[in-house]
Amino acid sequence: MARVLIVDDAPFMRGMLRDILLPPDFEVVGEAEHGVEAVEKFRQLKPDLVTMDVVMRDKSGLEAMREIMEADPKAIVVMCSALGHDALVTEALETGAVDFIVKPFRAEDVRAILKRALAQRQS
Amino acid sequence: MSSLDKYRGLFVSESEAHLEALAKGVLELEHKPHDDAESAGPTVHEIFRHIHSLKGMAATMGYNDLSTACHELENLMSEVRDRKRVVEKPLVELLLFAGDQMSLFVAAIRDRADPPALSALIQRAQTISGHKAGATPAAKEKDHVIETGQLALKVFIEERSSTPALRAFLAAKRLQTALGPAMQQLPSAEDLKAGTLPGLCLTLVYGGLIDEAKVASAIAGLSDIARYEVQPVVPTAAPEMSQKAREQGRAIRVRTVVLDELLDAAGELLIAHSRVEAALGPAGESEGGRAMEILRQAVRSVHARAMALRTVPFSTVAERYPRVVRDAANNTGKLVELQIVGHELELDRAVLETIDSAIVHLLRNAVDHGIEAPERRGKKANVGTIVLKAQRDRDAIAISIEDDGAGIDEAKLRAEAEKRGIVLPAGKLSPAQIVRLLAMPGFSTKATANQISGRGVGMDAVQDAVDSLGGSIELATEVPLYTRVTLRLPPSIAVLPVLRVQSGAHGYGVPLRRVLATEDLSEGRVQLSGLDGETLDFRGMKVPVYSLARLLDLPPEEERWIVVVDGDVSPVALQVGRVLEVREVVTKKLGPPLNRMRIFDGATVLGDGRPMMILDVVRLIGDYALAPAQDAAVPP
Repeated sequence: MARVLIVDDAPFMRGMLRDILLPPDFEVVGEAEHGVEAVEKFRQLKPDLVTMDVVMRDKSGLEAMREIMEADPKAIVVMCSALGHDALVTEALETGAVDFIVKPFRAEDVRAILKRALAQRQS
Repeated sequence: MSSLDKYRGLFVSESEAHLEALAKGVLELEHKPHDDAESAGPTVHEIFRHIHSLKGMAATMGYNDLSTACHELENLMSEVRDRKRVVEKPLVELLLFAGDQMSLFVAAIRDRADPPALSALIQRAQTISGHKAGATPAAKEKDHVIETGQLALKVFIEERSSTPALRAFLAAKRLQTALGPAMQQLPSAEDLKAGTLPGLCLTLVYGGLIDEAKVASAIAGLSDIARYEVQPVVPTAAPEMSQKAREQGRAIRVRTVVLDELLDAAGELLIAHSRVEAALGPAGESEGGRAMEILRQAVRSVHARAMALRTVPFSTVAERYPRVVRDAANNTGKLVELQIVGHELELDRAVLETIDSAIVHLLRNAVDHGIEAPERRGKKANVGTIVLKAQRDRDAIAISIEDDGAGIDEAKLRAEAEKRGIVLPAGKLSPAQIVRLLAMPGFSTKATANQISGRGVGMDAVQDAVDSLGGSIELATEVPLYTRVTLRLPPSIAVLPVLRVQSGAHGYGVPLRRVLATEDLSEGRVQLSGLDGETLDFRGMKVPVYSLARLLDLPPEEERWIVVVDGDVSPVALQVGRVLEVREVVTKKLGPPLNRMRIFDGATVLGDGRPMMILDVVRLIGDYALAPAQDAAVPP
């Protein structure tokens, strides 16, 4: 069971992801609503995977991802973005994000992408 | 069928291009190591591509026989490409046979005749594909590895993906992490970032290997991938090919007859201009004079460009020659290698077309009469060599065919001449005399003409072709080492520098190429010897002198000038009324009935509108040239 940290500034999105990421495959171990909190929670919880909203107030998802990658180069970060932020997504992919999901998303797609991302880093 | 009729011309010209390229590819393939996919790969692929294109066109036009034949050949070639079949002699023979058969088919279409049935070809192809004796065991072990020159990995993104370009971006990144950087990525990362993904297809091009296991595992880690495939790269087999393809993209097809008409029209312009100039007289610094000068330059530029349009590289005809030599060698059981130098030399297409069959004859001749059978080559290498060389020689083109065969045996030649009642001068024959002997219709030193040199053109036809271009033939030979025939040709047949001479009331043009010297008799520097002025001392040689008026059967007149010309065999002096000037003229071939008068090589129109005949000097004095000098002074 993969331990997941959800980072998103919208409570609605966090709730939705928590409803999607269920046992036996996933366990949501924490949530963060901005970048600074995301980095703190990552150090504290050491999750297997982080879903990271691209656009947030305070620290952007991109900066937060970079700090997380610095803390743990093997961290698995999957970017979470609304349509139309392609440039940010490609930048994140170039800097180390493993994959991305695009809102609005379908539950099975999200689970499939996160499972692949976990398999990707293990191999 | 009628709605497709308008595509017939295009079909024919494109098919011919494919067939020519196919023939070249097959010969290349034959000379490559069969088990070396690295080196043969691109050639195999080229052959495959030409057959494939032909198949598509044939199917569209409804030529089912042709498309079926192509289909069978395509199957065979794809097996070769996939290393399930090695290239063996029967396959090469089949491909050559196929090229011939399909060429006949296309020629019939061109001539609006019934195309021949291709059942024999189809059957032969099926027979070969039936037993795959060539399958290599190694191919099985390597099944998971695809190996050729260049491969394209195509990844298709699912239609339902909301962000196909982003998915492709990630796919490109992951695949290149797994496989290493690709030689080419389409669309580029920049385009993908901008959201561009035509056809939902990402293409990565790799040279060498693509490990399919790695591809599969990388794809498994990606989302929204509909499917992927690995294909040989089609349009860009090699960097130089893509360059060529780009150039072809900027080119259009023009029927050659249109180019000839354009050149003709440009020639008319030149003539019209010089007539206007002559009619106006010296214009000098007047406004009209300056305008005429601008017009002159423009007309010359149009003419030069029209000429340039007609130039093609020597390779356009030379590509066929390896096959000619190969067939000739096979038919005679000889081992011959042809080397061609000067593929890239640019030549007037009209010159090339005229000389093409002459070159073919000389090549066959070299194989048939020159190169000896392997066991009779003594200390020389078993494999004979023929070198075909095309090069610039000052303002002319020299095409030489040299074989390292037995050389021409003068004693045999004499015997043959005597049998035919030809009287030869005593002493050693000059090379030019040998050429003239060989060029006599039907003359041959071989007891039986075999099907190679015996058919089609003989040396006389070679001579005719060279003469019609105003060129010359040179021969060098040494028993038992070599024979070299050199054809010296004008670079183009349209503009000819001529020396204008006058005899009686008429002006004639002597091609400047032929002119060795001119002398004014009244200046007394040269003396004619003999009572009737029959010979002239020229550079230590006794040169026969002919009166142009007498040769042309014109009324006798005082001829004060001598023009020494190159008569192929030896210099010859023409006595003429006056020598006028040198000028470049646009020549026209003579139509009937004047073209029967072989003493004229063509005609041109002068600035004042009068026509001027161009003399064929060799024909004019040719009948006397072989005879000994002392008999030559008095033309019968």
